[in-house]
Amino acid sequence: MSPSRDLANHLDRLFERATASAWRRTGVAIFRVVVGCLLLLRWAPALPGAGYLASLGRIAFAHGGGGWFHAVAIRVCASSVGVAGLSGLIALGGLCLAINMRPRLAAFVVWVALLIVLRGFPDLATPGDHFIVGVLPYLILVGPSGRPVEGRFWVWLHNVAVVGLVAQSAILVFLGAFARAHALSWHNGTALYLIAQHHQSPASLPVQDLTRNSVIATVLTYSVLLGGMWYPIFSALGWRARGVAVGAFCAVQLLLCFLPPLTHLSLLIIGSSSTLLSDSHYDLIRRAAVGLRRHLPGAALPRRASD
Amino acid sequence: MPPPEWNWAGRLAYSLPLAVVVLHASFTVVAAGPISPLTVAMAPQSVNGIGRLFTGDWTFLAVNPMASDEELGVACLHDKDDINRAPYWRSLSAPFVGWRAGANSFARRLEATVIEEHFGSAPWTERWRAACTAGIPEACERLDGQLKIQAPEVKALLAAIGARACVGRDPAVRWAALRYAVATPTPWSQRFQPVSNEVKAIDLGVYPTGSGP
Repeated sequence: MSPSRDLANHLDRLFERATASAWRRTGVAIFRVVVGCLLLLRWAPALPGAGYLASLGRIAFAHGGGGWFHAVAIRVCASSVGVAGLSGLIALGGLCLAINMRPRLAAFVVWVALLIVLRGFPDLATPGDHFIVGVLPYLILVGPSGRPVEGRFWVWLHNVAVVGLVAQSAILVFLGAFARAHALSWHNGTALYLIAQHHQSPASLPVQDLTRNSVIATVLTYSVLLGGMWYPIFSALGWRARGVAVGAFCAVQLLLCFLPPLTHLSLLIIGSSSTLLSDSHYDLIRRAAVGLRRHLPGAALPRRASD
Repeated sequence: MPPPEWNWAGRLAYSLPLAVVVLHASFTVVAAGPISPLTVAMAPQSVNGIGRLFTGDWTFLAVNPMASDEELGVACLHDKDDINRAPYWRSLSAPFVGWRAGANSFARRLEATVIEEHFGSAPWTERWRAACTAGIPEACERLDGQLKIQAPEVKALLAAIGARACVGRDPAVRWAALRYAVATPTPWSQRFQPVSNEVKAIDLGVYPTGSGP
């Protein structure tokens, strides 16, 4: 068989698989809930202060690009009603994403509203906001959780969006780590020690104490760096290795959640890493959780007749 | 086996989402990656494409951890020339950072922009200042002119920040004094020593609160 014929057969088989069943349903559902909760928590409190935000935005409006979208965004963001409406829409969309109510429409509305509000107030944008803006187009395409994706075309659309979601978050996480690698404090291993001193809260104090230890500070800083740079490789690993790598990466990111400057981004990265695991991984976790409950005292599960 | 709807419209419908994904992902690499010969060569396409989506500065991906903790302080005064302000200083930032960050953190970020403009150190000035020091007199004139034009606007915004912080407290308050406190982190070598809490305060001026007679 000629190599080109072989490639054509291979692509045919890939296409068959991509139109047969929807991939990564659980991981995408987790990611959607994480994105929805973060949007809700970030934008709902902006509603009462909308008038003040609109009045302070004047300086931000003076600079920036052009075009009709820019003009519309500035006009909307200059009025307190516009700012309140946009943040209300984003918060409501976040709630819909979190409780899986019309998630595709909600993702579309949130995407447009975020594009307008971040164009109007470029100074408000955090890395987390950019991450969400980058992945929301894919959340418009994936099927809602709770009911099966039916029809060859809709399954294909879901799977293409899943591939895009994984690729996009891999690119963003990798580029973040790639940029950090040349920064002095990440290179010499003191970055997390320095970050732990900002915006301290009672919850961040234990992590701050940890980062005073030379070994822990260095190992933690480098594992964040290397984990981010290896993130695109995780999806190329085998079933078992992928589970272990993603689990370890999420454990490190969970620790970073206790440092307020990194909380938002770390939660997002944990959410996006959940799309790296297949549904069979989550089946294993589910079965393990059920098995664990059976061994815990006061288990609510019915006992078998042989017990 | 191709699907039953495999005419030209079907092929287009199936391949369009794939093309969108490939384009969106590859433009992200160009737009968010470090400046390289590729990004320079593809700048027009990336600016017209994904550049419309990402407005902010990507170096904010925590490249270098913040060099300092910044805090906006306000003192609500009865008298503009009140020398003894120390007992009146109150932080506008402290209750709003960390876990309780929300709308007030939005407001704080915009306030930080206003303060940067007040000092003439906003990000947009960097390019002009670099050109100015490189010996282009037009750049110096353009920078000074722009800063002079927006100076009254910045004053008005600082007054708005002060008025909002002092409103509804003491009816006799007529003036709001603002200051910017900068606390630099303890260096690694002194990590086990007691925290010195050395804060450098920069005066931002005194502004009328607008609640006068």
